[in-house]
Amino acid sequence: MLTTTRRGDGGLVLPADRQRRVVVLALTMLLVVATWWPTSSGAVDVPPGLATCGPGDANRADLTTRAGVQLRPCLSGVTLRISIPPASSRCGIFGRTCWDKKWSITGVSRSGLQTVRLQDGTTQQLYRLTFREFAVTQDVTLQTVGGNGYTLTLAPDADAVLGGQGSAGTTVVTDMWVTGESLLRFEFSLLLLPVFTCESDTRVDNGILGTTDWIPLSVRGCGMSLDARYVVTTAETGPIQGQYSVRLPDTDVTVGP
Amino acid sequence: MSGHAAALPESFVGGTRWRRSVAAAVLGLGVLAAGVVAVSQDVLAATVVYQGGTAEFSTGRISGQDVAFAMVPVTRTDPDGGARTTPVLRAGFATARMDGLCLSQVEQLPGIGPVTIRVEAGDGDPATQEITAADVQIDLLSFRGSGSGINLDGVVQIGLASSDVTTRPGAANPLGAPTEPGWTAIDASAGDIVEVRGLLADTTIGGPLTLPGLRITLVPGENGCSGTPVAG
Repeated sequence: MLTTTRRGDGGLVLPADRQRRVVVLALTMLLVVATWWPTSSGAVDVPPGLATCGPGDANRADLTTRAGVQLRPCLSGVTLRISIPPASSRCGIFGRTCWDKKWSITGVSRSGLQTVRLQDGTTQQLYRLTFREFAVTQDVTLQTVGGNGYTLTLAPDADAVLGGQGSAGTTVVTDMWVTGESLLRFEFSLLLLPVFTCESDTRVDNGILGTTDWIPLSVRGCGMSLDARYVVTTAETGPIQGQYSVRLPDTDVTVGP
Repeated sequence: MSGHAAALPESFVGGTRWRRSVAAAVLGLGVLAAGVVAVSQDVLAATVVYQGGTAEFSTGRISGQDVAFAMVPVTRTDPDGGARTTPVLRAGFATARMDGLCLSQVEQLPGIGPVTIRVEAGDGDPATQEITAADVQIDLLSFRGSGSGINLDGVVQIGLASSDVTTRPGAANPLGAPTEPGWTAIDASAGDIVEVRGLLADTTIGGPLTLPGLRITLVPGENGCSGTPVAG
């Protein structure tokens, strides 16, 4: 029960301990409301309708996937590094084959060098590397390099799909515009002679990948370090819809410096 | 005035104009209650913004159409009042459905210690995604998608400029990203993220927003969403 006393000017007076409780309650409510009350967003605002890729959108890239899908993305220029560290100490003994198979594809294609325009108007010479049914069984990390004061990291803890088969069974291809220095580590035999083994990195600009035709091999690799400016998934025959073509289970996403 | 005060016991010293205070409080709480009732009775067709420090959040599942994740800078206010620019991952959904939602923030109250403000919603049924919203933007500092984790549908593009994503049809730069280089994004036709827990900086929902089972509680101590099961 609230004990009050009426003052001469009409005001009511509470005992001091109740006043303290009321003040604390009021402050708490004020804090709650102030904390959750709608305010203006902290985002850096950009006027709507502004061209987002240079004057007149002139800095868009003109790219075509291996499946023939034409795209005009505005590329940030930030590198996405797809890393799978190899476990070279666990090479097999026959031809030094990969012991730990960490990624797999069922076909690969690499274009010649392409000139790709970035958002800032500069261009870069990149290869279009296309994987069919790209899946990773362990240790893959996707991390940005060269961001504007940040690093974005996606780190799945379990088998991941970066193309693979879509969730409804459609074969998905992954087109990646990568630097020539990007590395793949996989085993590849020619006439039973090991061409690449678990101990040798293969640069993307290596001649053996220099074809626009599919190398329709099931390849399993033990490591990679791909520096991609742009990655896109499509079906083999064109655009894809209704298929979860990228699946990253048990994944931590962090933003760091 | 002093004469009245002198006539009272010491513990009664001081005063509040309760009629005026109660009238103001009733008016303020009425406005607040009207908003809460509008939300709890399903639809609040207005922009809802959360801003104020770092909050924990969790949901059993969030699915949406026209999904993007874009790095953007935001200006945040430090506890000492200073402003600083911080990069965040802004998740944008043209439409979103969620299986439960928990949002919490711990505050230090002088003389009381830590208290946790919790906003929770949902029907408790993990088989349903009962919360719906449109034009959702969530500024993330970190998060984890457990189980089947993060799933992206359709033509998935990685490496786009943050200003080039498409979360609202026909809207240029829908996430309000800077147009200078160095801000990168992921864009997909749809997304499905399961068992999500994380830290967020800001949230903006353009609406309409449906929040069945809305509960706002103030609990003593640090009882954030990370310490409770993912909402159902």
